[in-house]
Amino acid sequence: MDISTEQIKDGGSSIRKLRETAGGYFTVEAALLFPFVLGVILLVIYLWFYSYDRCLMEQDCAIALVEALGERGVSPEERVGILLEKYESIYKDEYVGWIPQAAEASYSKGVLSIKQSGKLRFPFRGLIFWNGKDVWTAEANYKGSVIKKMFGIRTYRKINGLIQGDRND
Amino acid sequence: MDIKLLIPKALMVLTVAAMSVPDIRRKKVPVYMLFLMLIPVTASIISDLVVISIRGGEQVTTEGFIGRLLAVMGLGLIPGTALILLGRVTGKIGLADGIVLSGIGVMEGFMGALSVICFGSLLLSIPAAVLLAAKKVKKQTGLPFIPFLGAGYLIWIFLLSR
Repeated sequence: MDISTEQIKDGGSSIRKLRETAGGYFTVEAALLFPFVLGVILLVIYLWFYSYDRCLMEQDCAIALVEALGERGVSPEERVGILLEKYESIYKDEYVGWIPQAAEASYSKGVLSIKQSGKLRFPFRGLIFWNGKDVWTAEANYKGSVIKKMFGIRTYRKINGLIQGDRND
Repeated sequence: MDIKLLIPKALMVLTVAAMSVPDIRRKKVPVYMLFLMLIPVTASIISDLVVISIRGGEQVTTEGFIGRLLAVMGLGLIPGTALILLGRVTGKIGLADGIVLSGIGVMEGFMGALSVICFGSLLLSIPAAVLLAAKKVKKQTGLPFIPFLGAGYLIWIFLLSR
């Protein structure tokens, strides 16, 4: 099989391409700016994750509490169970990197409460040797009273009366 | 750490160390050396498959494995690709740095590549600041980055990926 001069040239050029070099440098300017900019971007992103997850946790606690308080004809123990059940049933995949702890619920003197905490592990946690506190934590504590039927009706009437009074004026 | 996972990492460290020599001398890396990174990357994929099938004791489906591989690799390529694009746009970062970071990203995933670039650049900023203060270099002078990427990778292996 004949090998043409062109083919030899082509083969030679592909070998030459392998011997070619690619730059492996950072300019001094970039070396000084890059870690600072990258650090700021990472901090902003992680603060955003933390705020988002904390808000979501508080929102979930509040939703579960309102729903549990709305249940009628249940005992205090059942209400606590319902509260925890409602909280656990809320869709949790929305959280970004959040590690929730077990929620605590209690009922005393007509006040139903839920307490929940969670933590976000920040990046490069392996470098924190001195105290091992490699997390940002947050806690949500919500309380609510069970409203009696009569109170609800009276309040409704009171508000309705005020609205009607405003309209007449 | 599992020895099967450690072998590709050790191969990658050796490859990066080999690339550091021409980088320190000429601030350039031969292209064939960049192709050498395919060895640890392939070894990583094989060891990953072996470890999943042995440790998990589960039947590894082709779709499941390819899906997992694409998820890890795709995300891991983001920091390296971003560095390449940044280098193309500004002209202040070499192409080889981005390629090496992409190789590391394929093996270690997104957080791995991000940690390596963070610590590599942080370590590089120290001699850069010292040399600039001593007026040995100018702002536009190039400094070899691949040895620092290697140092960042070692920090990732021994301190962060545990």
